[in-house]
Amino acid sequence: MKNYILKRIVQMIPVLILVSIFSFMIIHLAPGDPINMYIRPDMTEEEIQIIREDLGLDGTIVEQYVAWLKNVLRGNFGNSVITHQPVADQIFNKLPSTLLLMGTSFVLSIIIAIPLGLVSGMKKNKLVDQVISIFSYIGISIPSFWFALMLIIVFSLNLHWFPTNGMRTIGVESVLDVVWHLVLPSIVLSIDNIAVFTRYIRSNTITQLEEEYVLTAKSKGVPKKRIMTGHVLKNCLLPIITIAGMNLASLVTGSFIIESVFGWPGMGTLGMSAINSRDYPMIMGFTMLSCLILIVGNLIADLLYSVADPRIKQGVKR
Amino acid sequence: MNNILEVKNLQVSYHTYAGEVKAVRGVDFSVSEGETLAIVGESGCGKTVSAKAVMGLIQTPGVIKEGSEINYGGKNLVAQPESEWEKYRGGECAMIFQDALAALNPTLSVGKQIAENLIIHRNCNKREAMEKAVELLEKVGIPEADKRVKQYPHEFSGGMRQRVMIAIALACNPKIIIADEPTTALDVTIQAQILELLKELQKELKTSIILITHDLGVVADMADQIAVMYSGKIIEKGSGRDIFYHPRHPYTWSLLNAVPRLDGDRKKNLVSIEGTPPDLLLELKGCPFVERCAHCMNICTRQAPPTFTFENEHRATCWLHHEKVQGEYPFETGGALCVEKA
Amino acid sequence: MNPEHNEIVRDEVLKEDAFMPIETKHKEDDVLRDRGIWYNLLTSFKENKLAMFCLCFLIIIIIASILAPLSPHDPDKMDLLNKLAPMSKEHFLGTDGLGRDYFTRALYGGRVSLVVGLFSMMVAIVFGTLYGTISGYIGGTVDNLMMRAADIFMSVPSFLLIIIINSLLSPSMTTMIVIIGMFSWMGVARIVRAETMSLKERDFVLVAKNLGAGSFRIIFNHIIPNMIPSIIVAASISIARAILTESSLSFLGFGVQLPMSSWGSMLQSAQEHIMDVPSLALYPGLLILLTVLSFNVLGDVLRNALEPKLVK
Repeated sequence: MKNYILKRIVQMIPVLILVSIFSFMIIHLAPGDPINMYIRPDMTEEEIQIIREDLGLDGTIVEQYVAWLKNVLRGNFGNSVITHQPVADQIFNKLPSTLLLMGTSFVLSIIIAIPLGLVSGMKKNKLVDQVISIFSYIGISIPSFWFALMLIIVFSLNLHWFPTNGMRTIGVESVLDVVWHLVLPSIVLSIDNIAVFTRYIRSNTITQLEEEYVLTAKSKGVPKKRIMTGHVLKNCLLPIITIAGMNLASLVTGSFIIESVFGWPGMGTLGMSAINSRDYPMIMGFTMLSCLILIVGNLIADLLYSVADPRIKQGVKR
Repeated sequence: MNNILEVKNLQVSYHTYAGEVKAVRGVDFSVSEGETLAIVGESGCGKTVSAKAVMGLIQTPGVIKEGSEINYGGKNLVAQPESEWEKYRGGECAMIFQDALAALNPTLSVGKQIAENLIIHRNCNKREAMEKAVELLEKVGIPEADKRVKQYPHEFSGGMRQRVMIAIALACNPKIIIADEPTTALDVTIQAQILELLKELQKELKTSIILITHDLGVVADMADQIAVMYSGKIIEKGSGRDIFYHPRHPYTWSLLNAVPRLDGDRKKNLVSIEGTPPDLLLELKGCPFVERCAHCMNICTRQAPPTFTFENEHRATCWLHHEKVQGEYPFETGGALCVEKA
Repeated sequence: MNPEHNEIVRDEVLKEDAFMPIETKHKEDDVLRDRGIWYNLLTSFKENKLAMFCLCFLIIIIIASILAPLSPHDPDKMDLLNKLAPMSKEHFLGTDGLGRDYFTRALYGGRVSLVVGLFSMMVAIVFGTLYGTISGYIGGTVDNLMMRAADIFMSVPSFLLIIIINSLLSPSMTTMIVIIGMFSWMGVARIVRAETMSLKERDFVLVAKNLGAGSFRIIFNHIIPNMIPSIIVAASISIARAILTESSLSFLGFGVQLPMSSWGSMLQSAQEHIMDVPSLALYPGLLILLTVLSFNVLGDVLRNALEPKLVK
């Protein structure tokens, strides 16, 4: 087990390096010299050269990348060219609120999707299943930003039940207030995951119910309910761990879009403004962190799966 | 002898989008205490479906048709509610499946799977049930049972898994064990071990066994009664001796010829039965074996044969035993004591 | 047993030739066969009302987008005196904040969304199919490396990279198509690889190989044609995803640039009027939802129809 984790962590490194090279190249090969944003016409050559060095923009792109990488390995992601604050500090300031949003909607989607998927799979092709299926089709097809707009129109602007944006009411410091602000964004962020999980759990349930061990359990006289809870449930839900890990990308993407619609003060908002103002060190730091979240999420999912499924623990291929 | 299980006129149909598949078309058999009944036939003849029907395991789109009777303990189970079935299944009658790997839950330890039976039917608590599970594993010949009880099905070999299946079936001392091709998926040497185990346990526990197989070789030294099934019907039934030495149906006869023998003439080729069984979607007018029978007569294509009964409750459903039949056949014909309806 | 039946039996027994032996003839085996993809498709559409609705909706949307120039209004003609007009005979869905006819703009927006969806799907499918077949056909270390590379692409926050690329390059339809396609081929590659692995062991491929056909020929003549059904399914889902990505990009302002507009960018400008004219935000989103939903449903229906169903 230890070796496995170690191996997985080592495997993460080339991915991170490749992504960093890739984003570095995109940013630095894009048309237009980024230095143009920071110089005024009245600056002398020397002044420009100093700024260039400050930004790590001197030398060839390879040299620039190596310099950046060296700094990163020392935990230094550079300073934002807009606010002149360290990038890492800014990102880590915003990280908790993004993780709160992502975590809430993840838990929400699991809680909602499991019963929906199970019922749908057990009542295959019945009315309940058809209704749930249509809802999950809508869930995977709905553009999240539009769904957010619609919720804002109905629940914030017309019914005034929930706030339109932000994370806190100014001057109010209470958990309840944050929860109140959290409702709409987390619903929007979970809709895609709910739909995806429901579909997977449904089809899992259907295949598991056709497995022969269900027949064995039945031949032992195990009542139907107990067959579901004692046998089928665990086998149905196991693969969801992997799917959840794979679907993390949609959470990261989703939070990006939804934070900007709801003005949620998280990484997404930070990233958007960084991209709009071409704040290169910030974009790099932000990209690397998103990538890290995804990879670590996948790793956790894999580890959980191997703990939960006895077949994996023994190193047997599925 | 008193029969503990009686099946009368069992009919099972599957409603598929291609039409109604009549998988079992009126089957009668009975088992008495400590007896072994073997149901023999090629794949698709309805033997497994019959077994599942007796266990109440027919699932949609399959249905047990009206008029079928499964009598156990003075009750016709077909008419009983699900709760009655749940008491009977596992408690009174247990089943062993062909493919133990598929039939065991991959994510539960074998101990838990054995214990579950006891918890449901014997009101054991978890600890007692686990202790009993270890005993059962020992009984079916699994070494180091106290360690292996915590292991998962994939950690066992094929033969060991089938032993686990037997332990599960035995857990509540059922009166009847239905074994559906229990050795087909195993190596030949292991096959013999498993059959030997079943026999020993049967002697010890006085259990009745319904053995479902396509392999007459498996049946030979185990079965007291043999029923030969063909396209959803029992076409010949009798004691093991009668079936092996005096087969009275051309199908049985060709089945026996298809069994390789050590003491036989080595120059003789193994005989295979030409053709395929009839489509179970169709209503059969004559004898179902008509197209593959080497001794077919005109009447066989026109009218389903009646069942002729011979000495010792030996029955065969074939026109060849009609008094008007003349000619030489490689097996006994004629001499019926009585004739039943077609 | 009823007496009538007994009589019939007796009659049969009494017939003179009843017990004459006859030759048995083995009937030709009835082989179960599949009625084919088209038949299955047709029946699924007949049975599945949702699928029928989706198909009709897509046909209407596609035809409407193609015929968009027939609209009497110019999608870019501003009429500030007539801005934010409600629904009327002249303006089917009213006008937007700059007095442009909203219905006509929605038609033109559909053109952009559908074209981007269609072409990025094609980029993803062509690349993914080639990548997957090569990887699966060669196997071994090459396959291992290629799949690792695909895994890397999968574990990258692709939407973020798409935004970054789009914000730095001058966004046009072509760049958007290429970029969206570039980040959505991995799923196709995986499916295609798995199918190639099983197809390359099949007899007809082995026969072709023994007859001396080259790898190139085998891949294009024997393997790819057999995967077309699965590729079509993947394509349908892929269009749905691409349309969603495009609309999200345009909504955030990184998509097609003015004066061109897609459904996503219409939503972006509708945001300003969300207080007074919320219906402006309603229509484009509804169009995206229905279009994406239709492609998703269609993909599932196709997948079901492609599963062989055996009938007599």
